[in-house]
Order: sequence, then C-alpha cells, then structure tokens
Amino acid sequence: MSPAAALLALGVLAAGPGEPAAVQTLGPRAPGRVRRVVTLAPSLTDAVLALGAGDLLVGVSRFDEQPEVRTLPRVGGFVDPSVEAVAALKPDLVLVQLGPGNQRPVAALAALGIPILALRLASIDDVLAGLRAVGVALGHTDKAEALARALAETRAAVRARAGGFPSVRALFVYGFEPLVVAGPGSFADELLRDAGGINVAQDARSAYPVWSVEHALAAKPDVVLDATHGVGGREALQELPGLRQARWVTLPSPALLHPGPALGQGLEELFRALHPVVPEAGR
Amino acid sequence: MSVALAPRRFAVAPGVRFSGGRALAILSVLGLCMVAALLASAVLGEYPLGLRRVLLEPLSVDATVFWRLRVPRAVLGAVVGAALGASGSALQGLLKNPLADPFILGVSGGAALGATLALAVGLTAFAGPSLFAFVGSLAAMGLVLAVGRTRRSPYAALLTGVIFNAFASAAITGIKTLISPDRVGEILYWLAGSLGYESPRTLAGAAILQVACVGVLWRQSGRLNLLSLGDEDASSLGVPVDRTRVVVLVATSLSVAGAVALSGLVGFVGLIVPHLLRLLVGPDQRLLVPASALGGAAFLVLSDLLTRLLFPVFHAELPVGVVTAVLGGPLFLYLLQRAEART
Amino acid sequence: MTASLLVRGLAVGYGGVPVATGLAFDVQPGCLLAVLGPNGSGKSTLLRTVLGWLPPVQGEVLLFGQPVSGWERRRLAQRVAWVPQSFEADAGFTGMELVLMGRAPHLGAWGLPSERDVALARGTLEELGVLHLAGRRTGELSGGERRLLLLARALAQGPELLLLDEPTAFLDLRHQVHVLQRVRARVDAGLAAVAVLHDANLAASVADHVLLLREGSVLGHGPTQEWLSAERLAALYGLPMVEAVAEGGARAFAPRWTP
Repeated sequence: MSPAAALLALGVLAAGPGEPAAVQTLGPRAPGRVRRVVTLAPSLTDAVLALGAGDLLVGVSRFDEQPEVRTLPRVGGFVDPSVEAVAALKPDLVLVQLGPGNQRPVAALAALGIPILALRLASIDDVLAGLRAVGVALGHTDKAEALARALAETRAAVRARAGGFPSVRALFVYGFEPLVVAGPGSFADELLRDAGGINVAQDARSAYPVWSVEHALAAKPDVVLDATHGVGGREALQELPGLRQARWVTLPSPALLHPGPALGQGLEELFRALHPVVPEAGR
Repeated sequence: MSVALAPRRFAVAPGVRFSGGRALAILSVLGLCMVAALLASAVLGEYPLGLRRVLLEPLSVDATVFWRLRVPRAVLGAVVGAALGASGSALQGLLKNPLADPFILGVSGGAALGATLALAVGLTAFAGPSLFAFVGSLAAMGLVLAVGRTRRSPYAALLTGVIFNAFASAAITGIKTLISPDRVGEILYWLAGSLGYESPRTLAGAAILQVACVGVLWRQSGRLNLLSLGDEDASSLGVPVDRTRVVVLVATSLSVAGAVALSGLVGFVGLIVPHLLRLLVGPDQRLLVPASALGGAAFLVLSDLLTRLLFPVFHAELPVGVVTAVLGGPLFLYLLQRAEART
Repeated sequence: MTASLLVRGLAVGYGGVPVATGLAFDVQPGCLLAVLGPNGSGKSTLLRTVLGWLPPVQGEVLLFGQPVSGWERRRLAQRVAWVPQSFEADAGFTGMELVLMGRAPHLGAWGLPSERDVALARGTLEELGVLHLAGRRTGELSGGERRLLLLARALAQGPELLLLDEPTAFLDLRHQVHVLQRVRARVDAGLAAVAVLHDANLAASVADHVLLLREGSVLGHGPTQEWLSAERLAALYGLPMVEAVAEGGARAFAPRWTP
C-alpha cells in the first residue's frame, strides 16, 4: 500500500472505533429539580433556550453568541473546557457534545461529582433524541416532546414537497481556501438529502473532505451552497467553467451548521435554496 | 558578572565558583522557589477554594478540586519542568551550543509525529497520543544515536536531529491536510503543549523516570564540564568521550520523551531556564543541571498558574507554551543585556 | 628502566593512509625530545597517535611499557598530559577552574578538589607567572595567556610524560623562554617530555634529543648536540641555514638570506 493510500486509510478510520451513544449520562445522577445548567457548545445552549429554560443557564462556552446569554460567564471551548471554571459555577447539570478532544476534561468533571448529559448530535435523529433527553433532565418533558414532534413534522413535510421536484445536484461548501465540503455522514449531507438534493460529494471518503478545485469542476453541481459566512475565496471559483453555470446560493443563517432545535428552519432554507420559488426557464 | 556572584566566604579559591557551600545555598534558594510555586499553584485558580474546607472536610468539592485537580497538575508541572530544564542544560553543554533546547535532537519531531498519527487515526484521547508520542521520541533518539555512531563530532547528532524535525514537521502538515478539519483542532492543541490532570499512578511513574534521568545527568555533569573543553582535551583528561556522549543523549532523550508524552511540546523552558541560570551562577554543569531542574519546575508551575489566572480574560486556558515564551523571552533579553553591560 | 614512551616501526596516518613512516624512538624520564619539521610533515599526527586517538597505521606505541590501546583512559590521564595547539570556544570558565580541571583524572565523578589539589593548581599558575589570570574568564584572555593556562592545566595533572604541541605559539619571546625553562626544570626533576617545536633555537636550548621529520620520513634522530646542525636543518626546511655560536656556548641557527 503506498504511503499516501495508507494515510488516507487512516483518515477513513478517523470515524473512530467505539462511537459514543446518542445520549449518555456521566457522573452521578442529576437532582430531581435542576436549577443550574452549564452548556459546553452553542447547539446545546440553543436547545435549552428553545425549551424556555434559559433562566437555568449559569455558564456557556466562549463560542456562544446568542444575545440571551451575553452576560453569562464563559467556561472554555470545545477541546479545552476549563474544569475548574465549570466546577466554580456549582452546576447541577452539564450539557456536553462529546468528542475525542474533550473526553478528559469531561471525565474529570464527572469525577468531581458533577452530573453530565452527553449528546452525540451527529444526525437529525440524534438531535431529536437529544432534545427529548434535555427536556426530561430539565423537567420540560412535554415542551421537548412537542418541539421534537414539530421538528419531525417539518422534516416530513419538506421531504414530501421535495418529492415533487426533480433532484438537484448540489455542492455544500464550508470553506473555499482550502475547499472544504460536506461529505457523507455530515449533518449537512443528511439535510441536503431530505431537502431533495443529491450531494455531489456523497462518495467522498470522510465527512468533511478537502477537495481540489479540479475535483469540484469535474463534479459539475447544479447548485453551490455557500455556508462560509463571507470568508473569502469565492470569486476565484465562481469564474471557473463547470462552476460558472451552477447557481450560487449564499445561505444566510448559521442554523444549518449547528445540529440544534433550529434545524427545522434550516431545512426550509435549504429547500428554498435548492428549489427556488420562481421556476427558471429551462431548469 | 558571574564571578562577582561567588560570595567570598564560599569560594574555595579565587576564581572557583563551585563549592559545596555555594551549591547548597543556590540549590536551596531554587528549591524554595519551586516549593513556593507549587503552593501558589495549589491554592490559586478559577475555583474559589476554601482552605479550611479542604483540610477539614475531605469529601467536599473544595477538597476534591484541591487533591484531584490542583495538586496533580502542579506536580505534573514540576516534573515536566524539571525534566525540560535539566535536559536543556545537559544538551547545551554536550552540544556546546547555548541555543540548544531539549527538542533539538529530533525528540520533538518524533513526539509530535507520533501524537499526530494517533489523533489522526482517532485513538482514544486517553493513552493514544501519549503512548505514540513516547514511542516517536524514542525512535528519533534511536536514529540520532545510530547516525552518531560513525562520527565523532557532536554536529552529526545535531544535524540529524534538525533534519528529522524538519521531516516530521512536513509529515505532520501532510497529515493535517488529509484528515478532516475538525480533527486538526485537537492536533494543534496537543502540539501547543498544556498540562492536564493525570492519575496518581501516571504521576508516580513519571516522577520516578525523571528522578532517574536527572540523576544520571547530574552524575555526568562533571564530565560535561570537561567535554566543553573539546573532545580531545576531555579525552586527555580521562573522560570516555563516546560513552559519555551516548549516556547523556539517552538520558536526555528518555527524560524529554517522558515529559513530552504527558504535556505535549512546551517550548522555551528547556532553552531559557538553563541559559538564564548560566548567566547567574556560571557554566559549571554540576551546579547547572540540578539548578535548571529546580528552576525549570518553578518556572513551568508558575506559567501554568498564570494560564489559569488569565482564564477570565481569554475565556480559555492558553497553552502553557505561550506563557513560557511571553514570560521567558523578555526576561531573558533583559538579563542578557545586563550581563553584556557589566563585562 | 622502562621508557616512558617507546615507539617501534611506527607509521602514523588517517584511515590507513600513512602520513609519516619509519618512526622509532624512545623517551626516558628526565629527557626532552623536540620534534622539528616543516608544516604537514606529520608531527601533530604523531602526537595524536601517541595519545591513542588515532590507531597506528603500522607498528606500535608503548606507554610505560604497555601498548597505548591497552590503557584505561583515566589511568593514562593520571600519567600522561597533553598541551594542545588550539583552544576550543570559550565555555565561560575562569582560569583557575580550567587549571583545576587538570586534577580531574585524580578525582571522582564529581571532580571535587581537595585543598591539596587547589594548592597544586595554584602552584602551577604561580610557576608560570599567570596567577593573576585565576579569576578571569578564559574568553577574555589573549591566545598567549590561554596557552599558558593550558600548560598550567597539564602540569597540574602531575604527569610523568608531557606532550606539547607547539607550546610556544602566540607567546612573546619572554614567555617562550619562560615556558620552556619551566618545562626543562620539570624534566630535570624526572619528567619525560615530547615537544613539537617550530623554532630550532629553542630546541637547541632545551632539548636532549631531536627528531627531524620531513614530508613523512625521518631525516634524523638523536642527541641534540649531534643532530641539530646547519646542514641538517637546511635539509629539513629546504632553506640554506647558517650557524653561529654565541658567548657562553649557546648555538643559534638562522636562514641565510639571499637578496
């Protein structure tokens, strides 16, 4: 096996042995009545806010930008949450999105006697399960159930509508320099398929592959979905043959990048991007 | 400047700076600094500790934070700092290069490559990167020793190390582009160097390894002094040059490998602390090796304390290597300027 | 009496390629051998082989009756001292610390000197007139001052055989004479010495025997009186030489200048 192929194989294995379960509890049991909640990712903050339990939040990650939590103390990032900062807030429950990078700090928190609810949030089903679990933990079971059901209905509705349209070949771009696209197993890939699109990157070898420009040209997508938030490099690609003919759509809201309660909105946005209201001649 | 720091009552003879009394005094002062740093690091931090509760209520959260978070992290900082300081001093003496740091012989490249491979493959974050880093360091050391066998000059070892580091750096860049971008963050974080919370067993093992390695280096320090005169001069004074070189290389490599496996690449400690101390106490390795160990421990523990105290400012604990650079660099330049001004 | 240094059928060189051949001589205690010859004739290579850093291409070297390869480095260092030609980059040690390093072969791993060792080191510094350099950093000293410290270090080793590689280089005339006088005094007291010299006049003054090396072969070897003459030096250096005798019997050699 050539060294390059060996390294790529390692990249494939990056999916990792032993994926965590969709919902996990670590550490001691949470108290019956949870009063103080710390979240370690913006998606989780969104979930708590969507359940109307925002007043329970006492600490968030430094990447949270929601106005409701602007005054709350920050406890760190994804790979480096500060164990002491979390412990200093004396939470009854910590919500975390488990990844290999934060396993150690999370384990340290559990060892300190802090109840942890760990959610995978890798797919839409994970999001629904996660919402329900958070609802149960915070005592808003009914609200969570309603939210989850509404999301599932939105999803079904979008799928139904998409069935009435021809499939659209789409390329979902996270960044232009380098060209990072949504591959199989990524969140955006799942949403794309629900909204009636065909992901031109669905045969890629990882969830967030880095593509060469030529590969993108060869894929000849009908639509290019720009989820880069205005970071540069788009103009250069847009001029190229193979991509010039495609319809370029900038996705306005970050909802699509966070696997959270706003994904219903995200799905609808995606649907509109793929199948615009005004049918164009010849398409 | 350094001669002036030999207090008259400790001098064995005019111009001699190493004596039992002076060594004891200097090492005691440094030892006290280390102990003070450890205490400060255990007592201060983001979590407001009540010392009474720590001592009187062994089951409280305060006590748990103290014994399971603060103390292990402080001890780890001392162990890693001592390893990097002593190894840096020994290597600066062996390679006759005041710019040598513990990573110069390829150990950093080997460790970084090992850890990157582990993270790229997705091995569990607990032991994977550390183990691979340790193995990678030893592989680099083996390569340097194998190449150095056929040549007598220390430059062969130096060049091999530099080239290996360059190779490892390129390989890491390659791996970073091949794997998915969300994994890159983990790799960058590991490479930047930080202190985590290790189990007592890991700490005990690390401490034993470092005590042994630093002990070996201290015992070779007299020969290191002679080696600084040149290989032939040292040989004519009875030093088994090749054997001493191998022993020092192996001891420093094991020491640095053991440190890097736990903390990642924490830069500047092994470069600045021995250099700083040399400006203050002279070039005698019999004093510099243990002094750099104690000084390195104190410096790293204090830097780590600073990363935690700065948390409210950045909402993140900076990698400790950033703090060591920011603290050590200007301090070193200032002392260097004073030394130049005096002579 | 065993010769301090005995060389038989020796050829010296690097990597099996000989630089000088046909070397056979011995040096007894109380005897100073001067090695003379133009550049590149193999004088330094000879010293390196005697010290054991280079393997002999042919023949053997016996130090105190034992082959050089059979000596343990430390034991040998207690009896043989070397004054090098060049000085490595300054490591920051003082003059006294440098000279004290000469006691290292007699001390343990830590090299902690006793009062006697310090007194010995002081003694050699005083003897060579450089006690004032004891507290100075070696990096601040001139080439000549450093040579004197290197000699002091070698003498502090308390050797029975002293090997000097151009000990008078960089020294002013007064120090050249002084150094060789001190070495000669020690030789008279029982030391054996081999000195690579460039100046035939100095050799004439202090050496008991001379070894003349030209382009790798021995032009002559024997007592100074016989073998140091204008004709032999002319053959050695390839220059016409004249000899003069000063009052007191000292012989002097100079090249004959042809305008």
